[in-house]
Amino acid sequence: MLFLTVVLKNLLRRPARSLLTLAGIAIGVAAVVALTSVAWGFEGSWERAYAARGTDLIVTKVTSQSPMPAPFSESKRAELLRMPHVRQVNGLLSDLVSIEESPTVLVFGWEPGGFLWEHLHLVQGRWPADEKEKTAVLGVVAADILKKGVGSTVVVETGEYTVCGIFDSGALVENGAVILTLPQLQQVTENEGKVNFFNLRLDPGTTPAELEDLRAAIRARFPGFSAFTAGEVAQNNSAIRVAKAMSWATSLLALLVGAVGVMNTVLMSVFERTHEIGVLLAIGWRRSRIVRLILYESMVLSLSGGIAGSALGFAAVKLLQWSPILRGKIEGEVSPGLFAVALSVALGLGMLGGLYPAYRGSRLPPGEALRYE
Amino acid sequence: MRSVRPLCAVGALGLAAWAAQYTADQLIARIMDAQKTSGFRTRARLIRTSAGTGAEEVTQLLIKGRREGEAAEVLYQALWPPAVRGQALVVQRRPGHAAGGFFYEPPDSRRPLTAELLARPFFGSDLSVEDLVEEFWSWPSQRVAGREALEGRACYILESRPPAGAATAYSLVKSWIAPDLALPVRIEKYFRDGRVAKRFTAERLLKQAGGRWAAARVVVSPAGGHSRTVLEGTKSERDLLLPAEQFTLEGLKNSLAAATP
Amino acid sequence: MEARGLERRFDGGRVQALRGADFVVREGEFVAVMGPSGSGKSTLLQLLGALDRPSGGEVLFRGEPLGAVHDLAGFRARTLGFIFQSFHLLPTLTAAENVQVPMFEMPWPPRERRARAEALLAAVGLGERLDHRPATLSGGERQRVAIARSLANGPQLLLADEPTGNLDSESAGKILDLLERIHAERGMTLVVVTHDPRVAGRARRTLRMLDGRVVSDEDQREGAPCSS
Repeated sequence: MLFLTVVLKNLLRRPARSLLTLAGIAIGVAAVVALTSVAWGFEGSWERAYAARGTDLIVTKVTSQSPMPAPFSESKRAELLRMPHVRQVNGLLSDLVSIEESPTVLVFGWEPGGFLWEHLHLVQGRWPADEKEKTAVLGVVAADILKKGVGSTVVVETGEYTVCGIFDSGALVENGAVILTLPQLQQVTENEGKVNFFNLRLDPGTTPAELEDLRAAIRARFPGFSAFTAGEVAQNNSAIRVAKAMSWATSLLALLVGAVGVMNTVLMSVFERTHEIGVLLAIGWRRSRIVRLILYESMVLSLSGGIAGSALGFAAVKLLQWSPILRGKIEGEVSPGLFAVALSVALGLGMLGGLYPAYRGSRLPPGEALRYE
Repeated sequence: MRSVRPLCAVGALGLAAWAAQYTADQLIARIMDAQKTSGFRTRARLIRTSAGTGAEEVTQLLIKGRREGEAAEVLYQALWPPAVRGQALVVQRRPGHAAGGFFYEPPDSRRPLTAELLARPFFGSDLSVEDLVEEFWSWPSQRVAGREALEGRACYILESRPPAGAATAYSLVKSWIAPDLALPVRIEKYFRDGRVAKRFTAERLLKQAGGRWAAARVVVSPAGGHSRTVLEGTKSERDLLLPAEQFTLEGLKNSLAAATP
Repeated sequence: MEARGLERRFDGGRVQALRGADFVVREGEFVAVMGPSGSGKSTLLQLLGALDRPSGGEVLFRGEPLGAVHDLAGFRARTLGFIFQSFHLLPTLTAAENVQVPMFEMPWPPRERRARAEALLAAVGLGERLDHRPATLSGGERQRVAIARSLANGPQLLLADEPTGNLDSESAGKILDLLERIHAERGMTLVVVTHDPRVAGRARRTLRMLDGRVVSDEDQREGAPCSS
């Protein structure tokens, strides 16, 4: 017989209680997994989008609240191009627009002929011919959500556009988007001559120190503006920040509630087994083995809860991804890294919840424990 | 005793605030002041839900307004679905005059706001065109009928009655006005026979930049309960300078032509 | 094993379970400790088993005071075997698993633990009941499992607290036969606390206790009559 057999059989002694505790942990871990998955996935999606675009720096107006930075004049482009190491500048306008029956869709206006288009793969149709043409291209997910194909009409604000192509990008944020040419989106949103992002490509071989200098120079030249690298933009996005903060807060809360639940269960089982612990001490078990028994019990409990919770969390993310409101906007990350995080959280729960009961159990004087009925 | 006295003081202050009586004119002035802007543009969705089937009809709306002196114009334009795309209601207000305006239908139909048109539903919703045109707070008979707390918020109940012979379907409009928000949080309109015609409820009250409050959702529940309509703002901009041309027949025609492939 | 002036007080001195017990148990002896309830028998057994510390006096094992033993748990695991009145088996484990519980303290691999447990259960006549759980065994069978468990790590001293207290007379007789046989075959020291005269009748020597003191010490082999 293995020591683990004793641990497992002890847990099976009160299956309902163990199962309830396990369910509590599973729900907590599931919440952690789902939120973290979405937060990571969202961030990863933007990072992939910028990496695929070949964007080295993003220049935008700093905003605290709104998910979209306010538009500003695109006249800054010429000045940006004159700065050292800057090779290409693409202005773009992006907005969240309620289109037809769907709540909100990301709409981009990209410069015709700009480098942003290069990384997209045309699945169907063609690209917009020029900036005068009233055409739009849709990401594969957006096409699916809006139920549009090549040749259908999509209404963006006051404008009516013929869908001329469907594209695929590596990143969900773009696949869920509608792209117009920049002048068309500027006109239809009454933002003539304005963009809300500049995507910059730098000279190959620009060193990190030179990049830092450039960022400082941009901030100095354009007060109220900031220059982010691809990873930072995602980190500075208010929606991502909220999602991450929520995932941390939930994790912490789940950890606390879970630990208290585990502690309650294990402590109860220790009190119930006071006499039995006395017997184990009498037949020669060391106190360290009692500690191990109780700790293992709580850890097996929380680890199983962690595994069940991870499965539940990943399932919840899949469900969320297909919900009408979030479809095409979130992309949960299902990675070994996240699974490892979930299991560490669960294991932490077990340790936290098991430590005190284990201490209490091992401190029992054997004679007294034996007399205890 | 020492701890009781400040409590009494706080209570007295509260009572004092509650007792600060607003007259009907003051309440209306508060709302009008808070809403004043040179120009605004709001994107909204009008969602009508049938109680029986739960079927939803969505209309995408663009609402724009501009003010010049004491005169103001508001444009309600349908963007979607295709059947109504481009149709627009333009409401014009001038002090001392009844509200006027027209209804535009592409490509170039312009119809005056007749009684028949005012009684029509607004883009198939539970709102009538009159609900957007008629300004009951400018009716001559306004009185504070009492006070009531709605969801913990102190409100004044304002009763507005139309003058004899006015072209309105209603005989009484009650508004529950929260003076601290300068916003009506509920409005009830009554038919001539005294029945409630519809109730408007403001939801998702949000504090805007500049400390102004606005409702991001208005729920319209008509009598009978067979349906309801939600007007939901998705985006809003204020203090814009919009050209007068956008509110004319020519402007509407031109913008539509420019926006169509 | 020797007890010198053993005292044990509980509840801050208000209850005095032992008031100076002195005796010597020689290696290989079968000693019964008798006395009415509350005479201090069980307390004495716990002190002998190093489960409790005396308030006064000391217990010596092979001349060494237990108070000076550094690793008492190890001492209990390797040297002592405990048998309780109500068996105290772990209800979720099978007979063979229960016997293996003390073996975790020995450096034996799982396979060896299992083999030893099977041999021990065979020795107590339960070779056919290895995988039964305590609930499916009779009282006498359970006590046999407990005895096998007490022998798990090859102890030199068996301490039994009313081993037949919860058994009918037939089972009790069989358990006593078994204890006698083990004592004889394995040559281990056996101390049995009891108030059952039949148990005492099997012992070579009986210590009688009253009010926390040893009041008589009779050696049956020398022909001293056993009064009850």
